[in-house]
Amino acid sequence: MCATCGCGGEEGAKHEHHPHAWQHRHGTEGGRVIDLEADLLEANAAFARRNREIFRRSGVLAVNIISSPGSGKTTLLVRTLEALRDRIPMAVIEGDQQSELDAERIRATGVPALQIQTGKSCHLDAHAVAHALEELPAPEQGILWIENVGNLICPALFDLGEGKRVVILSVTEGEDKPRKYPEAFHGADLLLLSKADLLPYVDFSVEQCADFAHRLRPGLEPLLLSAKTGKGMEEWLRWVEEGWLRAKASYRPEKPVVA
Amino acid sequence: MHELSLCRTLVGILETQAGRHHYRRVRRVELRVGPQAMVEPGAMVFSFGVASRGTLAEGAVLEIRPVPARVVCLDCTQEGEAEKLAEACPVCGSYRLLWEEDAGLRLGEIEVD
Ligand SMILES: Nc1nc2c(ncn2[C@@H]2O[C@H](COP(=O)(O)OP(=O)(O)O)[C@@H](O)[C@H]2O)c(=O)[nH]1
Ligand SMILES: [Mg+2]
Ligand SMILES: [Zn+2]
Ligand SMILES: [Zn+2]
Ligand SMILES: [Zn+2]
Ligand SMILES: [Zn+2]
Repeated sequence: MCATCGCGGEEGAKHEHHPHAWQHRHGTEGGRVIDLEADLLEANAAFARRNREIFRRSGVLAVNIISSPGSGKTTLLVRTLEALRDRIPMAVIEGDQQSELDAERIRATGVPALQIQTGKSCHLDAHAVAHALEELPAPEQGILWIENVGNLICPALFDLGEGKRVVILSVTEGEDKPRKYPEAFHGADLLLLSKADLLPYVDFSVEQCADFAHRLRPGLEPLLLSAKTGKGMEEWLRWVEEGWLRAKASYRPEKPVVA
Repeated sequence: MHELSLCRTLVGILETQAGRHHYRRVRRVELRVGPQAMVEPGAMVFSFGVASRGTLAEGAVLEIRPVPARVVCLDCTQEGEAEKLAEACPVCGSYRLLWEEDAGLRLGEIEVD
């Protein structure tokens, strides 16, 4: 049984299940019917609140990075860690479940990284992050990077308790992604258009993309970025540092216990 | 598997509400699922079986009901419902829909004794 939430007790247990039960509409008759109307995502919201409180007290900027597979999350992270590691304490929670590969790439920068085994799950949730924090404590007055599972759809539904949410869209994916997956963009604090070096070779309208993004979140300005050429990196790093300074200001060191 | 923790939450709510609504057994549980709440029905039913074992909801039927979201077309202001992501406006064909209300993942009706 886990100390964080009491989970894990039955996960490995044997049990019968009935995969088609959900199709048996009104399979039982005669009982009293009550409309309960309760939100199940509230459980995630509760973990998210707790994570957020930990980040706040530790003065940590937590950044949740969401994108499709291959949009350049890990590449950008590596560049960013290299640029900031001498000044800012950082750690990385790696949710991309393909392999240990992404975590290895991160660790090569000297920044600690924890790979979460997400298995078949298509997103990280606040509960998984809470457990990750037991193994990899958020770096006090620093930045905790969370690379979400490569998926532009359901990670958007799960608040991790992060301070900032960054959505990355590579220019090779087409500018209509925000239209197709509005939820991810709706909740974003920053939209990065990655692989900007490839713009001359693809049919991608930055203007149209910005237009879609604005309709989903007014004021969401896309930032063109290339981890390859370094274009946009300065502006990106400035945005990160601004958020970091703000988060740092909320640091409340644990009071020593007085007997 | 996030379905298991969601089902634990679900069973917790069923137990908490038993006193208030005076029931001893749950026969059927309706789960209302909005277009953006990607849950896998098979995993959900399996998890519900695990989470409800030994509780007043053991053996209850989990009914998963998709609920369309309320949307407004940003181009023609047509209001309507969308059953899944990336649907076009039925009036003007635009994909620029503003999602106003999504059920998310909600416990709906239950049938009890
Ligand atoms: N041309 C170009 N390729 C990039 C850039 N950033 C990442 N890539 C490539 O895109 C692929 C996927 O990158 P990765 O960082 O693993 O994406 P992730 O799955 O989102 O973590 C790799 O082959 C990278 O080398 C960039 O700025 N320009
Ligand atoms: Mg990656
Ligand atoms: Zn747990
Ligand atoms: Zn079975
Ligand atoms: Zn998911
Ligand atoms: Zn329309």
